[in-house]
Amino acid sequence: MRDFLKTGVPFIWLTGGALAICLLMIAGLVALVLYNGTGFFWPSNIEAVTLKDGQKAMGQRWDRQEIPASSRTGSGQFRIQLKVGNRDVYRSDFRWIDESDIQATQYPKDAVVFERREWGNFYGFIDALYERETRVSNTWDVLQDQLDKTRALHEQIRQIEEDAIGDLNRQIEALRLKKREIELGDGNADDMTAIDRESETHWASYEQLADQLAQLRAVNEMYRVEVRLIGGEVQQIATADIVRAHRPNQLGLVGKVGVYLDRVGEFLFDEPRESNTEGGIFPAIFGTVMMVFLMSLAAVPFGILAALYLREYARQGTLVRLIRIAVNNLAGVPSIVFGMFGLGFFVYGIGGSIDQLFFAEALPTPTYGTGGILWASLTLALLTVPVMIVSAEEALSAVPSDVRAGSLALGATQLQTILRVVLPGALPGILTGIILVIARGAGEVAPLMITGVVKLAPALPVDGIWPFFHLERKFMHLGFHIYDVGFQSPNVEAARPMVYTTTLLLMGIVLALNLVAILVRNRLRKRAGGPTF
Amino acid sequence: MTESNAKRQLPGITPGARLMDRAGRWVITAGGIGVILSVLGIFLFVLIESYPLFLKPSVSQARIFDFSQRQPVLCTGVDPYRAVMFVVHETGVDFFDVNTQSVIESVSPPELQGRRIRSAYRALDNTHLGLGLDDGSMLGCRVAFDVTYDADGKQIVTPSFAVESAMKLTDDALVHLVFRHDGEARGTALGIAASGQLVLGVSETRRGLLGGGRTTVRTRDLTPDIKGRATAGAVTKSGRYVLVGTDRGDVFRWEMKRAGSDPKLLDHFRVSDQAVTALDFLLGDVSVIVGDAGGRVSTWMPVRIHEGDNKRTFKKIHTLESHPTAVIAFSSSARDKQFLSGDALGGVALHHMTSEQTFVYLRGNGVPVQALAFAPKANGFLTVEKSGQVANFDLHNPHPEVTLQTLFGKVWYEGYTEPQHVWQSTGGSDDFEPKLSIVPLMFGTFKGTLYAMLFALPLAILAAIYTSEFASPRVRNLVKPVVELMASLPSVILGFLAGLWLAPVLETRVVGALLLLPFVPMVIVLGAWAWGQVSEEFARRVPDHWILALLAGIALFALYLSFALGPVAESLLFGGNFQSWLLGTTDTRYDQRNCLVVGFAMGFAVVPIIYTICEDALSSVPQHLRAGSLALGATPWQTAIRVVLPTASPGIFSATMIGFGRAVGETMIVLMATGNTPILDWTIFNGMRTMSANIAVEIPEAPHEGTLYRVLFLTGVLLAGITFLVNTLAEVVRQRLREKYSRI
Repeated sequence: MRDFLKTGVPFIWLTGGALAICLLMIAGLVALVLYNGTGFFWPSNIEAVTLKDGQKAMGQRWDRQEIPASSRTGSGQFRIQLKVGNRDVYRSDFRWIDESDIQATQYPKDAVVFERREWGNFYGFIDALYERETRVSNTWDVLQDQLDKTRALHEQIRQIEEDAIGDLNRQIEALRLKKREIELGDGNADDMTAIDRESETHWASYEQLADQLAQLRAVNEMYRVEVRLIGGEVQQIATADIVRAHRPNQLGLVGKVGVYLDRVGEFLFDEPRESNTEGGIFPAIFGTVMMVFLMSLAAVPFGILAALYLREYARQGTLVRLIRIAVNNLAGVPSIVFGMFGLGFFVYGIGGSIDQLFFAEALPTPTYGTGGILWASLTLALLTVPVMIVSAEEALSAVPSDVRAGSLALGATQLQTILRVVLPGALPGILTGIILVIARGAGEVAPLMITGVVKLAPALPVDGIWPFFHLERKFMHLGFHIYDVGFQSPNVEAARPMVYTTTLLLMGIVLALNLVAILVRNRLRKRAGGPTF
Repeated sequence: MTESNAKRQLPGITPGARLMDRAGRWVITAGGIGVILSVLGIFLFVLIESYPLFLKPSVSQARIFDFSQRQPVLCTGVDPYRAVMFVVHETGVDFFDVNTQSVIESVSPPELQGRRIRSAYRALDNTHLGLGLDDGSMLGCRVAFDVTYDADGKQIVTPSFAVESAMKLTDDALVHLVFRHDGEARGTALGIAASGQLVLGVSETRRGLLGGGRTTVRTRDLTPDIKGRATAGAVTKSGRYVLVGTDRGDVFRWEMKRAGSDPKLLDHFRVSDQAVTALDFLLGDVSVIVGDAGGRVSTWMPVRIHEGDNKRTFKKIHTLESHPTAVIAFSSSARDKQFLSGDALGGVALHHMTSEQTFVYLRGNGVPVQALAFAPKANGFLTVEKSGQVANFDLHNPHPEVTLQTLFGKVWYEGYTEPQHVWQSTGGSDDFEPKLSIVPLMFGTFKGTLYAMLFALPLAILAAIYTSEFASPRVRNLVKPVVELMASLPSVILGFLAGLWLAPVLETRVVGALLLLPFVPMVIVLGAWAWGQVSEEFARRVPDHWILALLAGIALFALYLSFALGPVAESLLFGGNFQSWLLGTTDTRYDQRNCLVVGFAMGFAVVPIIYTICEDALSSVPQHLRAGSLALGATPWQTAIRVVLPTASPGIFSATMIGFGRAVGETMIVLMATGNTPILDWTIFNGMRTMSANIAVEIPEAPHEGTLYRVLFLTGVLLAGITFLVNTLAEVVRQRLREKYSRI
């Protein structure tokens, strides 16, 4: 054994083992997220179990695990977790069942999952479908047809609520603020009565819209399904409350894929429901993209500017070396410190001053003096500017100085040399830096939490209302969505798959961006042949 | 290069191009310097935001009002906006406009019936006022200030005054009176008569269903309970505890559970070898300020004798700066634990109890202080001299509770049995005292970092050694980008998986996880031995990446083995349940989100950083060193460990530092994978609260420019400072190493 140790082979194996463990961890993490993130939308079969004591339960299997030794009572080793849904009836979405208690498991063909707008999923059987009070035959087809119509009606209702009525609200609010401004100013009574008259007309058109809404809602609520729970209780659900209904036990592979894609589409392009635990995450995707865009807009040009100065104009000496080290190290300063700065400087400092100067009529409600997408983006821009400077500098220094000398010798000015020779040569490296900046910005959450991200933003930062970009608005973000739904949501268990899916999305975006950056950089380095350390 | 080149320009440059060049130079220089300065300015801003914590308070005398014609002025007070003050004198109460210096209203309540006021007491709520009369009666009064705004938005403060209750305490003039009202039914008056008699009076108003009410008054002579002569007293707002100081330096304490019950003498304790001359409760009615004839000022509070025991004893907790002569008046702040003390020579001092600071001592002119009154918002105070001079002071002391001692040292807070490091920034009640010790947060930061580094360092360094020394170039080119990719993983993802997946999984499999530590290396070494038994011919033909795959398989096997044997070991060693064993033998509670989880998750985040830099440092070691070593007959392992590793050790140090910096500042992982409890406990099985997570949790709720806000910025300064230092150190070491490599 001693000889064996002397060869050093076991130690080499240990080092190799360490690398293998690192790789295993990465693979494990990716696999875990992939497994949990992709499975959520799959319409798995509905199990109806009969327990030995005669009780029945029906739902989709969620988990199966070994019963912990401490709480083991029967002879069974495993228990299953069923998502039984029907939160309004059972109070909880989930139920643990010891396998030893199960007498029989069936997969009833006509079991239906209803995805509802409120109260989560409903699992049951359809007894009948009613249009007002009359019973409709050919239930399933009419139901699907009606669900399509409901979807359209919902879109119509949403449009009236958000666009038309929202528009009116904004106009009324604008009038109120104008009135307040006059009050703060000269207090001209004629102007004020004119404003009052104008807002009355708005109120009148509001009444009209409200009537229209009520009619639409009445149409929407005409159909009701009578459903039976596994326990035999009968309930009625308005089709207006149902997003989707399907019978997974009857669906073939194609049908299941259809439902799967439908749900993925909903996830990517729809608004969230039930405090973010259901529905889509479109606002979070949009918020993340917009924030990253604004951040890059600020970080990239300034980062390149600073790099150009450091590399091309500054006299290389101790001071520049120190600055370089400082900038380099700024990239390592905890992001939360940048967040604090953003809160203190942008939100309270600049935002507070803007409010005092330009939005005095809205005070004490802050306009810019509270977190918003602009402040969050600027904060992240500060955080990522060092990354940009470092990569841009690296790219600039990779451009051989002979090229510069050649350009200058041919009579170009320094600016011309930079713009036409140096920058084009450094472009791929700078692009890599931009990608790194974007990836860093997309994954960062801590500073955003205190500068403008919210769990649920009522409106997107871009819409059809003048001035189209609303940079003062709060926004949603994928990373914060993970934190919020995973840790702050009242129903963590039900929301967990949703979080895995968001995680998968965010991880995919960030890793893909980084992969591109790393590949480009490696290629460049190989070409430049410079030192890697 | 720039200057000399510019001069050697060829004549063909057009004026326009030259202008553009100049403009470009100007824009890039200004922009570049601007960007760098503004990024560096972040530090400055964070520092400036926390700096006011350590500013000295400013006290300035605004005005002196002469009430000598009303002399003696017994008591004074002011409304929350410091616009209207009142003074109590022998025949009534005057309300006085501070700005116009005119009397608004002079009230002489009819209930006085010609009697004279001999003593007065303003309660901490600034509403209830007790008047002690010359026939031994007292009047309980209510002072209120109504705030309205006129058409121009100017503030108007209208005072009102009403007598609410009356009690006949004794037959002799009351020279000293304390009166507290619980705001609902119970008023408690403690009077000391000219004869030295000590009387307690309690009035209780029972409201009937139809309004109106029945008031019962009880009085009790406490003189027989005490030794010596009563000199000063204090009563809690609820009236439950009554304290009396004597000329022998004792304080006696009574308890009265309900208004109707008899006051029960609890205990007495010696507070001084001289007479007690002033006594009062601080905000919260827990701590008592004691002033004696020698000018000493100290605060006392009941402390549990044993943890978990309800028996309490009074102890001296804080000692403040002494006065040159007897302390005869106190006034507590209604906002915090500040108080004023006044002495027999007219001197007034401003203290803060918990931080044991005495901010100022205002020298008097030899005339004794009669009364003191803190403004309700603690932004000013009034002093009354025996001569009838009332002085109005402005006070600006926004952060009285913060000193380096309270931030970093142990502080004895109310309700604690000993001085401790405590972080508890917000509480349920108005009189809650924020406890802002940074120590538990720093401790938590380093605890989390320590466990993360314990996990990450060996793994990352070993993996780097393998990659640079033993792996084939093909493996290396594949593995490095993958690990680098891992560095870019958003920490919120790691935090989520650690908190919601790993923590519950580990909870039932702790022992298995602990077994990994010995099992993984053991199994790998065994695997190496087994591989040695395979024919050399075959072994040589197996490509490198298959060995890596084999190693991964072996590691997986070790993982399986550990978790399979975990329950066995748990029942053999820990009686079947590790967590109850832990609680029973070491008194440590197992938290689901603990340092094991954080260490793993944060280690996961740090491994790629350390690995990348280590690997760079190792593979940059000049090749001829390796060749020389191998040529002299050293094995590859000996070469790696004795030649390459020592040469690259500065690089490894710098990698460690950068990893450390990253772990110190990590926010989301800690936030999600620990319970965020600010405790001081090194054990791996419970959580902690780090500085970064603390900022994330608390700054959204911290009022702008308040004490908590600034203290959080101070922790931000610490965080930025630590990471900046560590990173700079790493960078300097790295540059040195780079030079060294170019020399060898």
